[in-house]
Amino acid sequence: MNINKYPEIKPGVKYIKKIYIAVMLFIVGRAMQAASRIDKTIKKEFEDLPDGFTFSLGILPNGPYMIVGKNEKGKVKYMGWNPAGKKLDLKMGIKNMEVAFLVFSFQESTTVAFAHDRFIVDGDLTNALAIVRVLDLVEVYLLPKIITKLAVKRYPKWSELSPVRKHINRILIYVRTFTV
Amino acid sequence: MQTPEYFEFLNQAKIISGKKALEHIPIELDGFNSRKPLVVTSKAVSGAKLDRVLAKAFYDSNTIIGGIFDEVPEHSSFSLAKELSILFKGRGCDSIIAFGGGSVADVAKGVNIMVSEKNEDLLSFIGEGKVKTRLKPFVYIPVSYSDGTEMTNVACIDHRIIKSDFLYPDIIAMDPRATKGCCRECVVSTAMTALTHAIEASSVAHYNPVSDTYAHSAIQFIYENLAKGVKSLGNARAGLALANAAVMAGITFANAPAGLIHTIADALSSITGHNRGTMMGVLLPFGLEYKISKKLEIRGELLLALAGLDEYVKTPEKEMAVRSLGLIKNLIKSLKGALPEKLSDMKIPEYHLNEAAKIAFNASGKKYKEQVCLDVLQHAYEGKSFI
Amino acid sequence: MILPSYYEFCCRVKTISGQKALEKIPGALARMNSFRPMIITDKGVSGAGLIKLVSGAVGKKVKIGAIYDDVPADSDYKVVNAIAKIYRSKGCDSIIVVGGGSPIDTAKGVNILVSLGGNNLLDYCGSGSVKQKLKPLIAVPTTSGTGSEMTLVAVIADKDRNIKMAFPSYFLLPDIAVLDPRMTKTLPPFLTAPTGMDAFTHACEAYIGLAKNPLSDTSALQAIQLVSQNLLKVVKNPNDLNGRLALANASALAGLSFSNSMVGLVHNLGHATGGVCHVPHGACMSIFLPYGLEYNFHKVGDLIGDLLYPIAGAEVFAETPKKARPEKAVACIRQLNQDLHDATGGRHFRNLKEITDRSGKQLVPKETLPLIAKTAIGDGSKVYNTEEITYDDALMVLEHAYEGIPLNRKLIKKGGKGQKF
Repeated sequence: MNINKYPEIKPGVKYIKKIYIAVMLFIVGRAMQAASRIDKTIKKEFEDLPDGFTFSLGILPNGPYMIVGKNEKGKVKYMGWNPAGKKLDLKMGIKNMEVAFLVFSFQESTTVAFAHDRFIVDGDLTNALAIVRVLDLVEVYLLPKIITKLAVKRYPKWSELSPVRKHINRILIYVRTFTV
Repeated sequence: MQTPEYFEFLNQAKIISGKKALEHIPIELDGFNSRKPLVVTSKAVSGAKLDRVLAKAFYDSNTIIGGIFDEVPEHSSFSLAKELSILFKGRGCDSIIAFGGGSVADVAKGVNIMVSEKNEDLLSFIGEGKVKTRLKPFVYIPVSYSDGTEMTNVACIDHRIIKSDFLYPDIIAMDPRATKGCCRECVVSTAMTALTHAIEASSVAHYNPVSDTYAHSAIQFIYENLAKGVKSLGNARAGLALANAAVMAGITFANAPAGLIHTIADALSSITGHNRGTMMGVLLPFGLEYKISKKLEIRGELLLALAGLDEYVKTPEKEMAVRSLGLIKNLIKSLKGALPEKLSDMKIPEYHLNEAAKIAFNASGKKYKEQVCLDVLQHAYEGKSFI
Repeated sequence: MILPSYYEFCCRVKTISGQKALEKIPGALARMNSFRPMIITDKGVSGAGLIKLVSGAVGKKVKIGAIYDDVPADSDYKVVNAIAKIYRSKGCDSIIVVGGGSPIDTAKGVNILVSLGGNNLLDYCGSGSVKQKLKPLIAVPTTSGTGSEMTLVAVIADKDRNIKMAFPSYFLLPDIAVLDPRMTKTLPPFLTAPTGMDAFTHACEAYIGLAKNPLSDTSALQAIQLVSQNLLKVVKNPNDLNGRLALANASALAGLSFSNSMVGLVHNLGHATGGVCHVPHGACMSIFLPYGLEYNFHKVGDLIGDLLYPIAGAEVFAETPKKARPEKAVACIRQLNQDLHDATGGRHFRNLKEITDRSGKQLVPKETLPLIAKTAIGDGSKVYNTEEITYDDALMVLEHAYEGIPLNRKLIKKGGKGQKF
């Protein structure tokens, strides 16, 4: 047998998908920071988390990641894409790049992705659920209803979040995400 | 529902099935601390460029493919297993992926025994329970063709059988891209193997509640998807459902003794060289008819799996077996000629029947009488009904 | 049959079930090259004379290395460390665990230490730290309810820090689960009832949960059927060994079903109630089950309708029109709870109000409901419920369950109809 006919194959990189996901993670991370200052529910969720709480959401095994945490003053900060050297209380990972692309291109909702066992959560589950609630709300703000409805189990009713407030907050969050 | 006196059941594999399942293989292998698998496959797979799909699925991971060997012939051999074990060791691989049906999985299992047991003499493992250590992680990726043994604890190399619980795959990854139908004959043969195995494994004599759960899923998937899968080979959903059925039926088959129809079909196909799955498909209705005519009980739950709850609860218990048989016959009819109706259509000389009955009798450990086997074979040959 | 667009299923446990299943242990050990097992259990089990039974069946053929029978009700990491020390000093090469959830979790922890080395379980905290085959572990369950013989996670407490640590790894699954009716024969009726309902609940929730898959479906239906045909019979006649075996099989089937499809609202509220008020798990399960189904009617009504067949049998199923099946299924479960209540002389609880401890003290006072609801929101099971659960929702359901009245379905906030898998 001529073994050279069957060469080793080193894993390549899917650059376009990787960049797309990195951009999405950046926006979501910044939006979390912005929303925590604007939306009361999100603010409350973060207040209930322990001081200095930091978490990462990313693609296994090689990233990209986003890191969000509370600083000493209790303010929520987007802390960049590099988890190296950071003390993380909670690590949420999507099992691979293709699945992450399904999730971030809204072909598979986060709820369904969880049910499909596509996530790996390392850390305290109670905190992870709080983060999932925040992510759901951030999604409500960032995306049009038609897309978000597919992604969350229950879209907020009028009584919980009036359209006027939703749109004002949405604009504020978008502005803060890309400016401050 | 009676409680069985005693039963055992084992399904060693983790089953992952569905969209992007191939992409999940690296992280599953990582769970075994494995980073460098050897991929064993056949021209049928690489011809459909599926080997490229697999290689791409490993992008953005830390898993290096140690090599993709795509020249496994239809019949596996010891010499090929030996050559592959040299490739495995030369590349420093630590796991094996079998991508394809039949001989591919057999050879991969053989290689795995050699490299894990560190013993070049594969012949010394022939028989049952000769493998003593846990083997390297073994991934099986089904395609639309399966002979019903890939997911079991058996490897058949050069017509010799190696059997050990260590041979079960650790991971079975079903991806709709891989399980799309390749040809009508393959799809029908795979499904008929699975259907026969599932029905025979959930028969009255060895009632096993855990095995039943697998068998019933398999039967239901085949009944609902086979016609669709044969009609349009590109139907990804049907292909995936049929692959699921094949895997589940294979696992129950590994946990139950071989049934009458399996044994006869196996004997006849070993003589004539015809595909075993097709043979099972032809024999299945006649075998069931025989059992009904002899008042050998056929489980009512078979109808539940085939027809669903609503019809099942309406059918009187006495009619369930006949009704099930009718549904299976309809299913075969709906395949519109993809399966021969009787053995004589397959151009099998009639004198082979006696020989097959004899072999079946011996292979079953004298459980199925020669006359019974011959009876079923003759009816199937002429297409004559028992009832 | 529903084929989800993606699913994962894994149950590497070999099941050995039967009237003389214990006698198969030595052979099974030999096949795994082990000859000196350690037995781990708790005082309740050994007090009931079950260890004598096991060592009698096993000890004739293999030498038992050591017996540890002091596992506390909440598996603790210090106990794990201590047991690992004994295991090593006695030169054991495998573990047989006899008991319910806590001993099995403890044994899984011990197995990590004795297989991977080290003296402190805390070193192996976090997912992904166990990546290789461990020592042979044989589980002999004694409760036929928890199904923890089929689950991959070990939950072990750190009492100093007051947290529970989860060790999830497929390698923690026992190699073999041995189901022998003699092990559950001595379980008194008032404990048999809730443990049976525990298995029943696992199966029901697995069938309607978000992560359901074909294999979890068929095993769930089997388990439900076995429980509904046998539980009441066994509670009324505890010496019915066939019934006991059927329940043990049901528990294992339910275990393999829910460990692959996860659970929803019932466990969500059940875990919270158990955590806040220290109510036994099984009691919470039987109380919350009807509500867990009612809450999800608008999402998975058809699936709940399917459950009527295994619960009530073919005749009732055929008589009931399709639309009425979900409600009928729930009514049958309430009736089963009532029957068990009567058969145990009132020791099987129908609502939260009724739950008392041995001294007759009410365990779930009405004031605690808000705290339970708050705890429930932080429990992982809610992820797999088809309908969203918020604090208000949880409290609403709790208030109904407190009184034991059917859920007022107008109060459910519906996030769309139907559910795709």
